[in-house]
Amino acid sequence: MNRKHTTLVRDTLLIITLLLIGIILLFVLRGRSNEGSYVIIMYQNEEKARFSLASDGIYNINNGKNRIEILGGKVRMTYADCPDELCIRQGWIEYDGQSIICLPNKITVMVSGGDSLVDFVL
Amino acid sequence: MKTRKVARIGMLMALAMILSYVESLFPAFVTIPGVRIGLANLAVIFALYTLGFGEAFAISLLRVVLSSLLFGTVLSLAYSAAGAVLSIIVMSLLKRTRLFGVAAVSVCGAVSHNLGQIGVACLILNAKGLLYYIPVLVISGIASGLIIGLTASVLLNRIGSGQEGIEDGRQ
Repeated sequence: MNRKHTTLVRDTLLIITLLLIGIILLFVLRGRSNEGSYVIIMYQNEEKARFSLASDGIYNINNGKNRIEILGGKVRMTYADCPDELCIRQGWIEYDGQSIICLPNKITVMVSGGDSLVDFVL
Repeated sequence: MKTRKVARIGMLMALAMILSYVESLFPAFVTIPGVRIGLANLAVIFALYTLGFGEAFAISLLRVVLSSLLFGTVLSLAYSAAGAVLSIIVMSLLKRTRLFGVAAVSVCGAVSHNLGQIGVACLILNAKGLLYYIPVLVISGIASGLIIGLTASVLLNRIGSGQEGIEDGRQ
């Protein structure tokens, strides 16, 4: 009875450990394998402009109300005419699906593209 | 005794094949490549606990070869065989420590099965994007391993007792 009990505890611990490893890997690997290849600028859910992440530089967007900087495959907001400037504080983004949103100006800077997952059959 | 053993291996072998086939009938199980319940592993675990490592190894490998020939492709044989071999070795080692129950053995078997497959896929396709799959396969392996492990545990409790004698000649 006691032996069975300790086995159950060990089983549970082992499975939880594996699960934690899996979840950690999920976060570690997700970012690394999907670096974006371009930036989409959206105004009210409408695509306004598109920049390649490979072309370094500083670009004015939204009629000069916002400014983004692209450097080494990453992008950040460097200027916004809004008072809170939360989007600037968010810093660099580089992975597919990441985005910076400037709510007052209704601007979304979204990273997209990247390595497409290879389709395969197991 | 020997004839009984041969018959038992053949029966479990056939059962593993049937379970493979049943699983291949359900497309819901294979929506994400590599994510499967692994019903056939039930027969393999049962063999591991009632017969032994060699018998379970043979059943697992033959099952993979035969079901790949029947329902799969040549490439799927390479993936599955690597997974099956790694899985049965890990399960046998873990069982031998006598520290863990069927559920944990099954979970580790399922996870190592998935890792073996993805390992071979990485070697063959040499694709970085496959790394993204590893955590998905680890977590799905835990889920399917747990289902199979708990089922196997019930199964071994109900009809597995009294059969351990075949494994080591005692009892």
